[in-house]
Amino acid sequence: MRRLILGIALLWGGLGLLTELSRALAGYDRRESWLEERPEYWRLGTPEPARLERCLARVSKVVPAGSTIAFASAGPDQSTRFFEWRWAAWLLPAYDVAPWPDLPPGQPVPTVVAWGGAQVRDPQRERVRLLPKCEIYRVRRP
Amino acid sequence: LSPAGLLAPLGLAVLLAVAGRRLSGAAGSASRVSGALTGLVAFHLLVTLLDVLGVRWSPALLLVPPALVLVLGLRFLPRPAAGARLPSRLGWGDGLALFALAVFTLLALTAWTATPDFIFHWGVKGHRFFLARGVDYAYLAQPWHWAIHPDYPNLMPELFAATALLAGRFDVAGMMLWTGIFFALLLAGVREALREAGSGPFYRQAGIALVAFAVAAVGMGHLMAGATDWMIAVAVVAALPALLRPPDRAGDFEMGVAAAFAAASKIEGVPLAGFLVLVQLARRLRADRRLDPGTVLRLVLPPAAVGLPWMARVLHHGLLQKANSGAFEISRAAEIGPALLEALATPAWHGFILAVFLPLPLLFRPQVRAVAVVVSLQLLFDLYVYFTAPVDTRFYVLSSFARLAFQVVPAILVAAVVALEPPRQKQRPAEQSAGLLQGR
Repeated sequence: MRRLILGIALLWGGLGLLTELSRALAGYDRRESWLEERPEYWRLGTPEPARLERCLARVSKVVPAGSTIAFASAGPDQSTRFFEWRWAAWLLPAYDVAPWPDLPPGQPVPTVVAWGGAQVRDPQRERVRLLPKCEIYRVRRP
Repeated sequence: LSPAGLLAPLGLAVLLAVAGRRLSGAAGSASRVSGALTGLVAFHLLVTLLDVLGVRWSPALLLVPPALVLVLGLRFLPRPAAGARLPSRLGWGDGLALFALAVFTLLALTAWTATPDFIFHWGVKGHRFFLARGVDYAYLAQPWHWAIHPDYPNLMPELFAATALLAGRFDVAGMMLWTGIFFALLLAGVREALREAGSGPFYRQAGIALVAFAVAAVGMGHLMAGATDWMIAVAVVAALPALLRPPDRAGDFEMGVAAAFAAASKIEGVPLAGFLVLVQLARRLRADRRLDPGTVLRLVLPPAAVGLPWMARVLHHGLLQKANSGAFEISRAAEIGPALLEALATPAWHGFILAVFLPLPLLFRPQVRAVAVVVSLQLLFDLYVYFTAPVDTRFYVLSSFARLAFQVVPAILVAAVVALEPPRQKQRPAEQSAGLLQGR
């Protein structure tokens, strides 16, 4: 009886493994058309983070590595904005990426990356368009 | 996916495991898993020392000390006790477990099953430490980095950074391979534990396959590649052999190393380290009616060597987060209960998460009671945090419990298999070795 219990558990576990393997492989095969709007569910190799990566690759060409930059998201809710910011930090490891506009008072941030149509309302900054819905706002030079 | 990216974690893991085994062998431990954890803990202490001294990491600085330990260990330290705890002959369950390990790891290498926390937290830290050639405390101390838990222990990102330094670049597949390495260590630990418990061939084989299936399924379905929860699960499983036999000198060291490894890995590992130490101390007191200084040293020194510098660095850089704890609010039970029920239904667990209820009956089985106490304390601590952390309670439970359960379910399953087996069938490890020698 004890062996039977263990055997059934093992069989169940094996079926679970095969189910998850099958699901994972099916998802992996569809990764290039995997559409997920919410950034907390984006996965590496799927179109949404790849789009952001293309934008941020342009940023790294015009902003020196090692700088602090701020990231502004046009996400409709706080969660989307938060996780888009986290993706930006992942994609820009050579920079210190802060969330715009939630910066500590007095924190100097020469560059703000505006993604997905985000608006940065700061008269002291000028806008530079890099790609559609991918812009940077730099502090104007006097 | 580059050859260097894959060879770097494998090479580093093997070097640390072999060097660590020399050290743990000198402490009387015959466990290979404990040896590997000793190497990983020593690596963490090495990079911590480099950080304290302000020395930037380099491949030579990361490789030469463990290589030196290995060479000196071979020359001066006694050979570790025979590796009878991990017999080379593989059974059907081992084969199934290796299959689960292989499919999980191959999929992990694609990063398709990467945990979101790898992107949002662990991977960012690892990449940053790689670029900074050390733990970048100035970066962690920025006020907006509360999001990456700047106060968490850093062993995982340290391993990521070291791997990238050895490979020459931050290769995601190489980082994912660490999860495969920890999965392999977990299985080796399960094997050692079932053998230590004197389980018969069927229970040993079924037990390791069961754990491998459950863990691989949730690892793929719940996106656990790159997660540090594997390390906590390994720490608990590595403590099993010592918890399943009467307390002894080698067991004290193995428990101490498991505690140190847990404390170096993740914030939940810190209380776990305390529970492991306390349970072993209590067992020692109960068995011997006294505590000799050697026991305390073997048991407390490793986690203290990890925990004290960690706490000192966290306090020095002002990294401690207010969101870690708050006032205990019993009224949260109304939110926690339903959220836990939802978390228990996490599809990728296929019901094995319900093993979190097994420690209660296992407390009544003397052979596995110590294991049941450790995992119960850890689960109770997780619950306590839900009642105190000043965050959205429902979201917190839903986003974490399936992972927190992952830290203890492998050990619970092992204890359940041990408890399920009729006592009369069990053989002590020495008898099993004799059986192997006789070709049985």
